[in-house]
Amino acid sequence: MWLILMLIAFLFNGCEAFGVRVLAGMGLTDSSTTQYLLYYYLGGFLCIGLPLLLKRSWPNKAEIYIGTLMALCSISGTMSLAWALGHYKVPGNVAFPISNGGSLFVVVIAGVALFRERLGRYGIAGCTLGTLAIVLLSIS
Amino acid sequence: MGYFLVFWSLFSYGALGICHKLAERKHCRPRRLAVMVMLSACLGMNLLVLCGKHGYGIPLPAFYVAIICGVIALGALWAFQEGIKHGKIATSWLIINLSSAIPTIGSVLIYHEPLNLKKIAVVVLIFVAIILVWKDGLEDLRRLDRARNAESLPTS
Repeated sequence: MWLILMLIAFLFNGCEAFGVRVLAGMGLTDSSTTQYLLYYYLGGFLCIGLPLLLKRSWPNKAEIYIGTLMALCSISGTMSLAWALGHYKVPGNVAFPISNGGSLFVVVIAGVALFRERLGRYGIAGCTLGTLAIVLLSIS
Repeated sequence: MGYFLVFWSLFSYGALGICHKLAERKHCRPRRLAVMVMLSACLGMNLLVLCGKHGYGIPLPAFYVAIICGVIALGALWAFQEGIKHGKIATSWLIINLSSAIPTIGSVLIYHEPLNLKKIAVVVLIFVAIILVWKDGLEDLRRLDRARNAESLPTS
């Protein structure tokens, strides 16, 4: 079950990220990225928010706090990386591996230290190869 | 300052992954959580658009792409949040991060960007990494089964 859901998330997450490539293909990344993200989140919200609103089903306190925190983390990560690349001219082949590979490392450490998750030999090998792939992907 | 921002993005994305697991531990319902993420992010982006100089205008094709991608992202968020109920955050986050290969493959197929040895190596590495984390999940299940069997054995 886990792998099926993760493969769905993998496929969907990759496909939605391709939208930015389409935007770049239209030559709009410099002028319209913020607006693009606004409508992107609006589309997602309307798709699931309206049905829940009609059913009068509300999120609880934990969902509100954690959901808001997740949105802040997402925007903060995207915008700070964009500013580093655009305004401060940090090279992409340095910024992307640090940001992508590093965040995976932070999450792996948190999984072990905070959530007491144990990685087996296959898990460790998978994470190592995966991090290598992400770093290679970021600099290609 | 530039490198500070890069490290800030590292910790922001890391915190996002940790929040996913925290939400699972707090028994947050994936659909309601996804609504809150999308709503809060939409309000945040609205503030940024208001502060910017370009206004709300965007060409219609880009608008449609944004809406469709937002809906697909929602599906990804929901599947991920449902999925981590059954697995570890470390391996789950790895799979989500590996999905950045899809735009690379899409760029090669649709925009005919050149395919080099590095890109082929990345796709192979990703495939092997997914197989390995899947095997890790199978080992966990076996370990759990053994623990259950040991518990259910009668003690004399």
